[in-house]
Amino acid sequence: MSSGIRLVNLRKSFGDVEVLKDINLEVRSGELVSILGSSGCGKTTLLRIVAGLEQSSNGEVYFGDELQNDISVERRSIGMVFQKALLFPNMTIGENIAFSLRAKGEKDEKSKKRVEEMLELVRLPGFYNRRPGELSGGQEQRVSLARSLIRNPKVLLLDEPLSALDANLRVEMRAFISDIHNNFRMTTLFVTHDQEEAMAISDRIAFMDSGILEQLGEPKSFISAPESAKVGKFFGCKNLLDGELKNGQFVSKGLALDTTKSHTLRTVIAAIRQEDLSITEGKTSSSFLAEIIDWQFVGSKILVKCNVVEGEEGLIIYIEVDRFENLEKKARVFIEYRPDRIHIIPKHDVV
Amino acid sequence: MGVTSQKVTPMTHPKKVRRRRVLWLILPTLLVLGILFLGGFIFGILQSLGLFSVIANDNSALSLDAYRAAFVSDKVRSGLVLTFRIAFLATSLSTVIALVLAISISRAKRFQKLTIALTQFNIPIPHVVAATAILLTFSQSGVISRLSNEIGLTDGTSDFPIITNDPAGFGVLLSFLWKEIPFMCILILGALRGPVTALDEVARTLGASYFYRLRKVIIPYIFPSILSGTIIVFAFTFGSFEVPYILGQPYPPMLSVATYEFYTNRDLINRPVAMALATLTSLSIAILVLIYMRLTRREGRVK
Amino acid sequence: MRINLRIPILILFFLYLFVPFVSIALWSFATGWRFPDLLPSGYSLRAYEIAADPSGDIVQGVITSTVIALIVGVVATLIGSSAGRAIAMHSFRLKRAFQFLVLAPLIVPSLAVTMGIQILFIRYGLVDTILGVCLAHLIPTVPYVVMIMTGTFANFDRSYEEQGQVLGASRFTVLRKVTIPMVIPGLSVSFLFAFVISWSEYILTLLVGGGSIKTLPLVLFAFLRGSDLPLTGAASIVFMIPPLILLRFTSKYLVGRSSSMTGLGSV
Repeated sequence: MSSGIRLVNLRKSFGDVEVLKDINLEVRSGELVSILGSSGCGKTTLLRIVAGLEQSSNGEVYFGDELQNDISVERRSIGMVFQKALLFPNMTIGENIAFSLRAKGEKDEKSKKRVEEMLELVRLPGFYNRRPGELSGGQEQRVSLARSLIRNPKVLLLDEPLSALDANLRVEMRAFISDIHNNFRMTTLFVTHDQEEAMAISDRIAFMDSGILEQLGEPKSFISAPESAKVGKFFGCKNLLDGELKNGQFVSKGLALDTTKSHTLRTVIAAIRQEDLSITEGKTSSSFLAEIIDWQFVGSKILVKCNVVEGEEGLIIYIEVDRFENLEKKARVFIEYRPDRIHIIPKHDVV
Repeated sequence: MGVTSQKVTPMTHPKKVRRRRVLWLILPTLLVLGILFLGGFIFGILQSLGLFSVIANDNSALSLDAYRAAFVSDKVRSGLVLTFRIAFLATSLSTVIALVLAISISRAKRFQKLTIALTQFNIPIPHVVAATAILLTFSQSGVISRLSNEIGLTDGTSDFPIITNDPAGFGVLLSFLWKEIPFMCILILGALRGPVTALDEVARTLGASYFYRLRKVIIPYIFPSILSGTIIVFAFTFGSFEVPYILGQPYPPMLSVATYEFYTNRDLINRPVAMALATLTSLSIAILVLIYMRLTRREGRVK
Repeated sequence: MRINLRIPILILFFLYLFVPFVSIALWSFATGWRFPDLLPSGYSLRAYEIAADPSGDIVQGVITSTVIALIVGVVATLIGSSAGRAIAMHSFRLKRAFQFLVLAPLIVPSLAVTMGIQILFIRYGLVDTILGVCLAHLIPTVPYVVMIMTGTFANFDRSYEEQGQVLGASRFTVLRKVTIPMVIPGLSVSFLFAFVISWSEYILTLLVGGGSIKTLPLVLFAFLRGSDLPLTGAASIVFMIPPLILLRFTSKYLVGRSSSMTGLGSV
């Protein structure tokens, strides 16, 4: 039976370096939460603390209502998959999967049946007698998954399990993990640096930067409603403008945009997604004039860099257009925006 | 070989150049070991078979006389048994103790660096010094004897047990252990770092207790290194000369000492016997090592 | 519970390792030390004064041993590393046989080999010479170097050398500036082993040196037969020091994350 995870005021320092600063996180039972961030943000350390492989300097870890702090790794009910599959080289695939059962003293006959079931589950039937050296990267990871799931842990921890696989395989395995999760509905923490991955499979995403939990929410909210410029930037928003809210408008360096949002603070940052802007034929009620500087292909779309004519010198806006758009450098165009898609971020003092 | 060689030969040069380059790389070693070692070894065998006799006016002819003389001698037979016993004990004891020590050290949070530094200390000490040190410490008039006399455990030099220059070879064993335990320990410690720690972590997340992990994950993984080390230690202790010479007894002598005695005997007729003994020693070691490797092939990881 | 047992056992073990050193040291400074005294009855530097005598055996022994061990250390490391590289990074015919040849000296006692070869050494005038002794010392040392360097080169990334070549460096420069710095740990441990083995070698030196090449082990052996224990102690201490100094400089390579000892674990 799965249980939720609760992290309370978790702090971790290695010597003088504070790697985790007051992490508070609640994961509901059966939920898959991605811990997303770039290298060095502390996400792996966090996961290892939840697993019990590291001790936190401060704070508590709960599985459901049970405090885990004084429980050693071996006795926590977890399943963990690492970046490298790390299958035991001196055992067959079947023995690898059966490891946790045999460690508890279960007899071979009983465990064999369970192992076969797990092999079916991870789509590797008949692999019982194969050896780790014979498997591909993706197959190894599936075995690793089977190995950790076989004793029905309360919590599943995945530490960048797909990062060592190549791009196509990653997408395939991602879907596979999603399937498994929907099947078992096990509380899962999934650490990754790949934003696309996190967006694809998570119920919620916990975004971390420099040891701080910056934002927690559904995937959509990171695109439409980033809570800081940092988050916006990480999720690919190219237009993050400093400015002020005045009379229902967002004003930045001479450019005034209508906005439906309001905020108590006056000094704000506006996050405008490049795909929410478009080039129009002529002036509209919510548009402004800009001059095309340059563009480049991003995937199957084109990212255009423009200079806002109405604004002060050097006010740059990015818009995303489809590949059929006719573009000329130095051409002047009208850019249309949607007032309800300008997201306002309160500007805090720089930490 | 246990070490995985890189499989790629550089393709940047044509085959002939590559082959020549490899030849230059191995030539010096090939010459040195080929001529000196192989030559010496084979020549010794030939001498043991009666050829190339150093005795003047002797018809050099192939004969097994030297071997017969060796086998007939009580000295040699009991020496063989003694040598095997001591080499076996030295190897097994040093391995087990070193394993326990290495695992203990690798788990210690505090003083780890200090402990490792201290353990390394004995490794470069020459065996002659080791034997001397053991002699001065454990003899009947040694430091330990004086301590024990002081606290009343023993009374006088003759009351202290004879553990150096003793017929059982205990002093020899002590000297071997003094050096080989640290050697094996450092070897095992080296193997314990690296990939094994990651595997151990995985095993922990799967709920395995410490001893289960030791048995099923750690030891199987470091087994090849242990195997190597034990072979080196066994071969060395079996054929060692200096230590038994200092700490052993004339009867029964360890094989290398007996060999030397035959070799330096005034009566040159003993030369071939010495060669025979030397050849026997080498053969014994080789056979025992082969048996050992066969027996242990079941354990350890399959590549 | 484990912690409770661990400390006394460790202490006992380290006592076993270090009390013998104390014994030697005490004897070296003693003027007299009758049983049942726990400590010498008097101390002096007499033994060390004798040891330091430039015309004395010990100084001669130190010089001879150092010269030989240095030569052997360097030569063994040189030829052994080349062989190690060949084994680890190339495939060639009869490679297995070569590996066997390299490892065989570990199994066959050097006494056997040296006895066999002594006649040849006599014939070619190599006995009683430093050259002869050095050659003989290569037999037990080269295998260790090859094993260690095979382990080192097995983990060696050739692309660094290729990078150097692509940047225009000659093969010799690449060797000097890229390869050697990268394998310094292995080379250091190899030199340590080769030096120490040669430094400690007794029977080989005795047989080939004919007694006229007096290395320290021979000197120490002679003292052991005599009854001057303080002198024996002093000689032992002197004998121990150069290897310990070498250890001091290479110890970081003995047990590290990429330990050079892994090569030894691959017989």
